[in-house]
Amino acid sequence: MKVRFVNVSHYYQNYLPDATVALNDINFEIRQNECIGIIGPSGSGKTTLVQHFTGLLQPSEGKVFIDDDDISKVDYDINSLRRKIGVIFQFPESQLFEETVYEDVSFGPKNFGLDEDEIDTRVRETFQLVDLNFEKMKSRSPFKLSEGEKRRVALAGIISMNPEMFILDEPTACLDASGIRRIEKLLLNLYQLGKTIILVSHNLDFVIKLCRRIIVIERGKIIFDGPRRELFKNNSILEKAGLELPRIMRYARKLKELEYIEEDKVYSIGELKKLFSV
Amino acid sequence: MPFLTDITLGQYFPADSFIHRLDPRTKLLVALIGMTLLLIANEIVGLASATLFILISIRVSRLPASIVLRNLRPFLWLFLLTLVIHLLFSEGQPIFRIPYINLNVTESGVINGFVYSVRLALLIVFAALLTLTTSPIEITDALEIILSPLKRLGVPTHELTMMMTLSLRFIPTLIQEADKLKKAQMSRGVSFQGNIVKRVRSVIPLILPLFMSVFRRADDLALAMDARCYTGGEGRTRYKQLVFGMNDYFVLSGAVLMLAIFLWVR
Repeated sequence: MKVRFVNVSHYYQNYLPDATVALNDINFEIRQNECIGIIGPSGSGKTTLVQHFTGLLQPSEGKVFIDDDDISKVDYDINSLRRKIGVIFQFPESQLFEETVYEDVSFGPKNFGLDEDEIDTRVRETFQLVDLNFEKMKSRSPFKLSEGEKRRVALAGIISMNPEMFILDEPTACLDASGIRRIEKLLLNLYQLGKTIILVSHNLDFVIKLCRRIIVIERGKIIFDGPRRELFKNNSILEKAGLELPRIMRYARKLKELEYIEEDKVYSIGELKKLFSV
Repeated sequence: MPFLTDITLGQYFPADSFIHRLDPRTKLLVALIGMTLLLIANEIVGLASATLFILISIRVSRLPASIVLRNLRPFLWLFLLTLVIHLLFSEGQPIFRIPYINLNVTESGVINGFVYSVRLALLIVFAALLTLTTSPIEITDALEIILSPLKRLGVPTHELTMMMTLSLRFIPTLIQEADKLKKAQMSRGVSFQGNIVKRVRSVIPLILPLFMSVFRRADDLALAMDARCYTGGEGRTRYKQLVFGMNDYFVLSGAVLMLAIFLWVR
């Protein structure tokens, strides 16, 4: 699946004096099985951007094309698009509502009219993917789980729809270190299954580990779109977006300064370890 | 696609104008008097002068007229219904007979339908003018003071107005939350269109999480208020003292005078 944004702008139709332009002339293209990080400070328009992928918001100007079809057309089947692109909003656990975890995870597939057997296999697969014990969890109430478990059940609710593309808005917000690691593993698994992953976050540390392509938006404008190593070539882009260099890169730079290592293009602990073992 | 966040009826519109600066107590009382006048004014002359007064007020308040008038849009069907009912079911001199259903359109029907619709519209605009120029906090503060004599009768006025402040405060928050939930559930294949059964069923995934979050919020809020030693209205002073100015006396006595004249003429 291919996504293309062409000159997309969005203004919130707000008559109050503080009405703002949320997106300003956004252009990009996303291909199948890419892993892209969209980063930017709070209020830069990330969440607004996410909502344009599946027509939850319509652009005020410009067009969104999925596989070269204009999704703003009246006869476009928006519901089947929402099945193909799974959007996971910030704090997805707030959307849990069914009596049991099983029912909540199967809610999406049921809405899209799959038959019982297929739903059951999907749900079982999904439990495994998000690392939840099926027998132990299936009949528990989603409201009585830990925060990390709730988050994973909520993610499972989207994964069970088996979309081709995942858009995750701050999936690691308010999670502890082990929770973040589980999400990381899950995303890697999905990526290896051939899914497209779009990770929206202001947590650069998390994003650069997974995503090779980074899009930086600031005040509704794309100020950078390219491979991650390009982004860190000069500090001006991050500075402009009010973001800090990822912690791992700060360490690497310091180590390079002290001449322990020769290379500072390091995006994860594992890569840093490798440099030392050479 | 219209979403819930588009609801902006009567939302405070900050501006610097004569009306914005008036004491909220004045505005509340004048609104009360104005609405009373509207309800007792039956004649075209009364309605015409009220319309004129409201138009001038809009001008003075420096609000864009379109914003004030858009408050009428959701009530259009109500005006229409009022008009139609009066047209069809009034007694008096028939001027037109509708075939088949055996009903007469009468002269007084036309006049009444018109008068009642206009009166309703004016009432709504009047109320909108109050909430557009006065922040919710100001309104509840004013209400608490105006109601304070009832305290002697054991009415918990402070608690009542505090409840009102809190609910007003949380309306936008809840609307935002409902909007977010709606989009999240739409992403899971819920369609908010279709026949009535489908629509009612699609509301459950929206209402249930919303209730959960309302209770959680209420709990958090109670805790936060408790942590700041909130014990109710007893002995509580306020940071922002409301002060009556020259303008307030002027406007208020004008309103009372109007009321007196109206009652006397009738």
